[in-house]
Amino acid sequence: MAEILPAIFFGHGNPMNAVLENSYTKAWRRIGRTTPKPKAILSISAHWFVSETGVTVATSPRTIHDFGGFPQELFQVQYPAPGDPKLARRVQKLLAPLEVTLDNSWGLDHGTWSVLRHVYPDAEIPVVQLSIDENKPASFHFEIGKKLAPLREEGILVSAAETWSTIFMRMRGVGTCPILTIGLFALKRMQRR
Amino acid sequence: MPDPYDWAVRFEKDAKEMMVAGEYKPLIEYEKLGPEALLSIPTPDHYLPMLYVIATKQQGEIITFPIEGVDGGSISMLSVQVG
Repeated sequence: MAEILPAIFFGHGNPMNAVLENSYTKAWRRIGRTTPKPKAILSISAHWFVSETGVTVATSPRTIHDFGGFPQELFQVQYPAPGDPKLARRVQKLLAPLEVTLDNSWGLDHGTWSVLRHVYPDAEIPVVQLSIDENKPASFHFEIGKKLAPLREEGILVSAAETWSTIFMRMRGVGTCPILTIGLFALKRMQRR
Repeated sequence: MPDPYDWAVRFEKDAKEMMVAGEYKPLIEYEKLGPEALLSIPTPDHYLPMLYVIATKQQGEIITFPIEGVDGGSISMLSVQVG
């Protein structure tokens, strides 16, 4: 029987971790070295938060720099992992009858590459991104996760990267990614306490 | 680096305990978990990806946390591994 791959959630934290070396990035590298090598990766990134469920279908997904105010170094990062249209179609099939769009417009955003460039620095493993439908409740997303479980027996690493509690990214002047700014609402809420 | 906020530490601890115990319902209904959860999850997009991962857990598998800790006061660096 084929080895069942783990599913891993990564708190990616400050996007600058993509170009830094610290205890977190070292731990991510260690995960890459110690996990059985996957055939492909299905990455669920919070930064593709749209009004539908979609999968990237490009054979060479572009590296997306979906943030502002960070040093140029971060904008120069490329993560040239190939795509995997076959995996995209497999995801579409697993999630049926839910309509899943085969998407050619998105690519790999920083939720994916800021971690993966440490876990798999050679970018040789194909990556497909799955979007998160912003209109659906949390229970919907949990159910999608359940339907994706068989992929783990097919040599696919299910990886999700995001990080909760992002309020102070902006406060500390390290720049923002668009979604992080929303955390400021929570800051205001906290100040009222 | 600022010390982690109490609520950030508390929520990470609570969330981990629920994951290990297989108590997914409260994690799905996180809006009812109280102020620590609401401060830690200012918007759902940053939290939902974790649900995809724990939902893939099969019977007999365990959940581990290869990375833990709170960075910069409130940024959870938690990694959650299933299997």
